Formats: sequence, C-alpha cells, structure tokens
Amino acid sequence: MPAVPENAKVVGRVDVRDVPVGGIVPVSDRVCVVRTGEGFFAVQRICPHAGADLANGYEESGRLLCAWHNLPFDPRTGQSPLESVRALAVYPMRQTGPQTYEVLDRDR
Amino acid sequence: METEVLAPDSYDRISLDDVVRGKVAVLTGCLQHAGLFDDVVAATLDVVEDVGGIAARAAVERDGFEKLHHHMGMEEAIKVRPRLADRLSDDVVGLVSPILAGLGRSARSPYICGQVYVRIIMPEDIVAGYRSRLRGEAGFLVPHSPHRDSWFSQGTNSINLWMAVGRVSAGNSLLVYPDVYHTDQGRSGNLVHPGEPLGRPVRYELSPGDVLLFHGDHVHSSEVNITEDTRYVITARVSVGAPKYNNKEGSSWVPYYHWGLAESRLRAVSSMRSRATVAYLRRRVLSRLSSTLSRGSSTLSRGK
Repeated sequence: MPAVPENAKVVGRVDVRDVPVGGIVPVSDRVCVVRTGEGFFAVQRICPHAGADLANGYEESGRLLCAWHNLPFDPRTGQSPLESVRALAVYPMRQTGPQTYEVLDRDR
Repeated sequence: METEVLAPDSYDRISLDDVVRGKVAVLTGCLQHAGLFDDVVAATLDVVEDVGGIAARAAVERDGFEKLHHHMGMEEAIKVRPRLADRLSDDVVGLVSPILAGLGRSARSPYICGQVYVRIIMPEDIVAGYRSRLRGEAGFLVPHSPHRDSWFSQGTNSINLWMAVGRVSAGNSLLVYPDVYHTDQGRSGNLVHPGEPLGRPVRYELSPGDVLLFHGDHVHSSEVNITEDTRYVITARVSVGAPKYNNKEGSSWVPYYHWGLAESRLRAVSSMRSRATVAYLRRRVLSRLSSTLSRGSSTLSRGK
C-alpha cells in the first residue's frame, strides 16, 4: 500500500463489513476497494485498457479482473501482465475505526 | 447457465433449439469428426503462403497457428483475414452442414449464413499498437467488447459456431456473460455501456477442432490476449428458422441458405428467402448505382 501523505485528501470511505473476501465496492466516482485474501486495496475504477468500470469486475486468486475483457490486475501494485496497458493507480488507505477505513488521494 | 461438453458420440444430445434458448455447448473434436479440420488447416496455410511466402507457411506448419505472430506481422495478418474468410465462405454450406448433421433435431430448419468469419487475435502487446487503426476489426483482429450480435443487425435467433483451429487457452478465449442473458443493458452504440454490470464471465478453453455453440444474443466479448499465443478461430452463423431481426435487417446483406434446400437439388433457390428482403434490394440498388457511376467515370476519362 502506498505511503500516506500527511495532508492527504479523503476521496472515499469504506466499512469493511460491507466487503466480503472477493468483493469490490465503489467508494467514489474514480476509486473502488477490492478485498482479497491478503486484505483491502483501493484502486482506480476505470480500466486503462478499454474504459470499463472495475467496480463491476471480480476477484480471483488475489487479482482484480475487469469483466469486459478479463484483464487481471494485481491490486497491490496496479500492474497487469501487459506492457501496453498502464498500471492502475493505487490509493493509500487509513484505518479510522475497528472496521472503517478512509481512502486517501495519492496526489496530495 | 449450463455448458454441455459433448464428445462425438453424443453431439445429438444438443439441438439448435437448446442453444437458441441459451444453452452453450462444446463439441469436442468436431472438425476432425466431421472431416473438416484438415481442409480448414490446408486453406489457412495456402493463404498464409499467398501473403507471407513459402517460408512463412513452413514455419507456421512447424510451430502451429499459436505462433503465427512469430512468422507474420500484423500487416500480413490484416491481409490474411479477409482472403481466408472469402475462401472459406465459398463453401460455407460444406463447412457447416456436417456439423449440423450431427446435432439433435430442431423444430425448424436452420438457415446457414453465407459468411465465414476469421478471427486471428495476436498477443495484446502486439495488437495494442494497431487498435485505433483496426476499429472495424473488433472481434476479428482486435478484442471485441461486450455486445449481443443482434445489436450488430444479426438475427435474434442467430447461433454462433465458434470453431477452434488453433488452441484456445485461458487468457485468450471468448467470454460469455450468463448472468445477463435475459436482462436489458445500457448501450453505448453497439456495445454494452462501460458502466453496466455484467456479472462474472465464463471462458472456454478449447483444443484445435473443438466447436463452441452459443446464442448470438448472449452478451459476449473477447478475452484480451495475455498469453504468448495467437488465438485463431473461424466462426459461422446459423439461424433457427429464417433470421428474425430486432429493427432492421442489417446494413450489410449476406445470403442465408435454407439448410434442407441447400443440401438438395434445389440448392440454387436455397437463399431465395434472404433475397426477398429490403436489405437485399438496398444492396442491389447500391451495387447498380455504383457500377453506373463507375462506367460514367471511365467514359469521362476516355473522353479527356
């Protein structure tokens, strides 16, 4: 998970009880949170391959797959197996309660 | 959604009626069983040789269609695809008929679409550089996004015969979305809108010669090719009864052959029904107009 900048802007919030393992939820227009067996990861929602909404994708073996063309991404790094597709933006998360997290903007 | 995987001795357990109601079937070893596989391979190699030369043919024959991209560039694949499609379309009834003959009986006679489609999807990192140039090749040379075939003015009772000539693997397959078979999706042109939920797709791993049957109104797309292999399949279409269209008959007319007639002495009239359509008349008028204009233009050139 990327380091949290001190003055980071909050772009979304998630209650992890709403996200079962394998689940994906949108937390803003541009960010979704996926839960794998390893934890929670916040990534950009728009697939850089063809523009589909990754919040409508699915999780398999720790990877986030875009449902449109089945392109897999590693949600820890944002990388896909393709050199021609840029990596997903990965957003830092900050725990705010026993079950709640904030998703923070990565650009501040 | 149920997928039937059927060996040659049980192809008749599925009918086109089952498929047009949503069932998906894999007929394993079908092209070999129907005596078609060697002919399709030979036709492909002939066209590869026409475009890429004898060395390309020998290399593809040696390494398999999966390694086509090692021996041909995208520019050559762009030439191979339509040439091969034309060649295979010349005897589309001969290609499709032996497959239909092995299936269970359907209530209405099938009609065979006069066009065979050739689909050569190279690894995505090769394809990516051509994507904007090859917008019209979606599903043929570049991956297709989720759609129903009837949105592309195909019949709503159309069935795809998706024939693996090379190996089809996880990572370069076809995707079908069973969760949204009978639901409405928001559209963006002829595609599902990118924000629409589709559920988890099903993909199919096929051996050379396997044939996948699925209803064209299943939402389907291409899996982006993340493998190191080229995926090479050919597809044909049949409709259960005469083609039925949503709103229009199709902007580019192709003949449909009544299967029973096409296999009889009445073959010459087997496409008559598809010729009694507005789409066919439109095509005839445009074709005549085009040849008249072209004659006029050459008369003017000679007069100069």
